[in-house]
Parts: sequence; structure tokens; C-alpha cells
Amino acid sequence: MFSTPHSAIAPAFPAFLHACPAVHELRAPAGTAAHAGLAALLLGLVWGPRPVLWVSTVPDWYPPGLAWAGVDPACCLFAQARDDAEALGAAEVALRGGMAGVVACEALSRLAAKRLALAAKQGGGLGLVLRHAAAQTREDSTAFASRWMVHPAPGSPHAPALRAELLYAKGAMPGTYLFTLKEGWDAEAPLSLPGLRRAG
Amino acid sequence: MQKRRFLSLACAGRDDLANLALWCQAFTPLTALDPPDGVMLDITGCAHLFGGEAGLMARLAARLPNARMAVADTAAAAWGLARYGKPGSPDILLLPLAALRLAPEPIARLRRIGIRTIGQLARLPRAGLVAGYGQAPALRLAQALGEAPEVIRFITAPPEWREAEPFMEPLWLPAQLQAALTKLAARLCARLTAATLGATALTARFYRVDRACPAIHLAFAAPCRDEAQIAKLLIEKLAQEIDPGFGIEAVALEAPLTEPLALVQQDMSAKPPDYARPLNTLLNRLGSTRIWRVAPHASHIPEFATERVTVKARPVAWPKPHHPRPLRLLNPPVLITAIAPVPDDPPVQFTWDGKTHRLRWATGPERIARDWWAHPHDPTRPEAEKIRDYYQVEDMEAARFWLFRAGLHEGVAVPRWYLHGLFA
Repeated sequence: MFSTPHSAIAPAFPAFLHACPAVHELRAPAGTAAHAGLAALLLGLVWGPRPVLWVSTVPDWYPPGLAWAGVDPACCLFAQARDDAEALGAAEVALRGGMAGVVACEALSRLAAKRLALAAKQGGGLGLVLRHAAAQTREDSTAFASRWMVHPAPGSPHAPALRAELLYAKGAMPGTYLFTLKEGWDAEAPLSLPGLRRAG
Repeated sequence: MQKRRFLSLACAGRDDLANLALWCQAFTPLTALDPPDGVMLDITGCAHLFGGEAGLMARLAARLPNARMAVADTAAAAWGLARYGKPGSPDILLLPLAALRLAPEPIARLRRIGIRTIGQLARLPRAGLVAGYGQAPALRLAQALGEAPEVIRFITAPPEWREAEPFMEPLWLPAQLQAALTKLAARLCARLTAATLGATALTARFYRVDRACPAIHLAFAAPCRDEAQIAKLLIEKLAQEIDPGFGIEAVALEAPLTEPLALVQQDMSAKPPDYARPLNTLLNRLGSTRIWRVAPHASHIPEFATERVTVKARPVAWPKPHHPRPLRLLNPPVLITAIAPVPDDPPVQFTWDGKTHRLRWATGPERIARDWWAHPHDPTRPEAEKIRDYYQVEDMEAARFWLFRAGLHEGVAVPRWYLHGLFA
């Protein structure tokens, strides 16, 4: 187990989220960043201080915000793609190379989903696909380990909360989970996550 | 020491001399621009690779049909012979004075005393020549005869780590070029391994028969000498970036930048994962401007608090933020209309993109003043008063936003509200 700030809430997490070669699809309503919050939570919990590629066509991820949510920006690489296809291709390269990949895209075909899942299986990485989409679409694929619809939930100013509806998972029942983004994290504890070894 | 031999190439009406000089590096590493119309090649010790000087000149003449060229012991003599000489007569003493690259004025004055050829000039006493006609004629003459040095500004020579291969027949099929690149990568990596070095940049040059010299540039996130990976990256770019034209007659693979890279024991035990591999692929596919790391930057202004650094840079430790920061930051901030019950108070409602959000609560303000001493005045920036009051707000659907108000109620301008980030 990694000694991340989130270890306190680890037992409360669904078990299949800890399985590592996996790609999860996180959906959120348009105009929110709830899926990015759950992605940060998952990365801090499961992935730890290994490198992460964040790729999208509009790279508006804010590193201090990621640091506040428990991801060390020193482990993060950011990439800007021209279109969704290039973003998915970049995430695939990262996953195949053993990194974690967070890709924000709108269009996602079944073929692209299958390719991402295969790349994650090959490299042993963790893939997170962030989309602004409805809970059900025609292109829903079962290649991913799970699919979530994430809504923001009422919370206190220092602990944003998320209501995550599990739409599909391999070997788990659908349900609704409530995640608190910063619970159990000692606000004064410094983040001491070492960076990359080779690529630095 | 071998006697130096220079080849001067004069191509009338050709403007792209830089490209021509680069292409000429297929024959010798030392080539120089010779404006306005030529290229100077130092072919010392290179001519035998192309069947002697006659063979080299025949080869050049086949590619540059309109060019005139000559070989001589000095650059100045080669220049004169290429432009004023008759083919097959290497005697510069018979050439007119213009072959010495002299200005028209001393030539006219020398003609007045009957000096028309270089041979006649060489017979004049030098001291009198300098006294009567300035330094230039005597200096040019000495340079042409090899008595005085001449500075030639060669373009950057190919690096030490270079592997090149000429081909009997020009190549233009992708499979042929791929095979050539694979072979060159293997040769270069073998040399780099022997020297325990890794390349951090690579250039593959393709010398086309029609005097063009396209190139593929590779960058690496960490020193690399993995021939399979290098060949894969080159082949990926080959189809997009290289037009073979009428054929490619030589390919060169050069490593302009190298760094020490220790040998690694190849064994069966588990190794730490090598993240440089996917990074190299991404770096070359997206280009170095579209993939980056971030480093903290000492600024309170949210959009200036981070800076992009290259993938090669060492990761820096990030301080823990003192205040909540959003996961997504909208850049530039979006102007919204907000309703606040009391001036200088958090809003109760705002409209963004046609949608109205009623707010449940707000925290703040977190006042951030602009570092006015660091930036010149820019009237297009949101805050004329150089003050922003940030509020974290949550609407009735629990979506969390980061708003700020630029300006004060009784300030120089009406307060404006902006949406700057999304928490969840």
C-alpha cells in the first residue's frame, strides 16, 4: 500500500477500483469538473508517485488544484492534443509504456475504448477517460473496468464531495457511492512524493 | 600534411545557397556559403571516395547542370578558376584581374598601367603595389598563390556521432528507406554503446538527387541508444515528413547532442519501469511544445503560479497550497453577470453561458493583489484596480466554482465578476 494522504479512506473504496491494469470511464455533467475530482482521488489512492500523463485538447488542468486534491504535480506530464483521436492515441502510448493516462475526450468509439483497455493491460497502467456525456450513450463499451457518472455533492468548503453512480463494472453491482475528496488528509502534512527516476 | 584542395561551385541564378551548402555535405564535411552565387567545398582527402577529383566533379556536374566548378590548391584560386577559367587549364596566372575578387576601382586603375592578368600583377614589386593601389590587390594575389591565409566560414560540420550510407541507385520506396534507417541506427548505437553515451537529439538527413536535403529531427526525454526505439521513431516520422522526390542517394544519421549513459546489466531480475520510452514517443509525435511538465512559479496571480518546463527537466517539489485551488482553471477568466445583495459581498446568483446558478454558500474573499511592480500596465487585463477578490461558491446542484470580482464598489470602474475555475 502506498503511503498517500488517502490511505485513511482506502478501506471504504470499492475493491475493484484498486485493481491496477484497468481503464475507468468517468462521466460528469457539462460545466462541472466532478470527474476530474474523482480522477485525482483515484490517482492519489491507487497510483501513488508514479508518472501520470494528462492529455486533452484544452489542457486547463490547474497543477496547484491537483496538488490540493492530493496529486503531486511533479509526477504529472501535461499534453495538448489537436483532436480527440490524437488525445486517445497519446493516452494509449502512455498506458502501453506503464504510465497512468488521464484523457479528456468527448467522442469515444468502441474501438478506441478497446484499444485503451488493451494498452493498459499490456503496460499495467491505470487509465482514466473523462467525458462530459449522458449516463447512457449508444457507444457504451464493456471494454473498460468500470463506468461512472459523477455529480458534485453538497459538502463543506474544505471537503468537496462527489456522488458517483456506478453505471457498469466488471464483477460488481451498480450502486451509488459518496466520496469526500479531502477527508482523512491532514491539512498540515507535506506531500513528499519523489518524482520520476529515469525520465527526469 | 596533405595539400589542401578546394572546390568552388558557381551556380548562376540560384538563391537557396544555405540548402545547397547543406546538400554538399554529402561530399565533404567542410562546406561554406560563397555569396552571392556559390558554395566553397574543402575536398581535402575526400575526392578519392568519389573516384578522384574528376569523378567528384563529374558527379556534381550531373546534379547541377548549370554550375561551373574548379578545383585548386587555394580557395581564392578555385573561386577565380570556376568563374573565369577555361576547362582543363589550372593556371590562374592567365586569368583576368576580376578573378581575384577585386573591386572595380583598383582593376580600372591597374588596367590604366597595362596590368590585365594575374600573371602581370604577380610580376609587379609588392611594396610598390601596396603603396600605389592599397592592400587589397596584393592580399588577394597572395591568397590566390597560397602565400597568405584566408578565413573561410564553413557551416557547422556534421557531428562526430554520424553514420552515413551512400547508395548505388537512388532510393524512393518507403521500405528501402526504412531498411536504411534501421541499419544506420544499429551502427550508430553500436558506436554509442562502445563510448557509453546516449543521444539526446538525433537528425536523419536525406540527400536527394535534386539537391534538396530534407531532415527528420528527433528529441529524447532521456539519453537513448536503443536502436529498435530509434528506428521506430524515425520510421514513424518518415512517411509524414520526407518527400523522396526523384530519389535519395545518401542517408546520414547524426547525433548532435549526446550525454553519458552507463551500461546496464541485462539480467532476468525485475527492472524499474523505463518511462523514457513512452515519453520519447510522445515527445516526437506531439512536438516539444505540446507536452510539458509544470514547475511552481513565485506569483500570487493564479494563472501565473505555474510555468511550463520541458519534459527533460527534473521534477521539482511542489508546495502544498494554503488555500483551496480549483482543478480546472479557465484561461482567460470568463466574464459573468453576478448579483450580490450588498456591494463588495459574495454573490447569491450568477449567469454563465446562459445558465443561471443560484448559490448555496460562498467562502471568501481571498484578496489577491496584482504584482504591479513586475508587469507593465496593460489595459486589457481584467483588474484595472489590480485587486481581485476570490470566492469559492457552491450552487444548488452542488457544483463548485471559483469566482472573482475585479475592482471595488467605489473604485475606478464598475466591479466586474469573472468565473476563473471549477472545483467539482
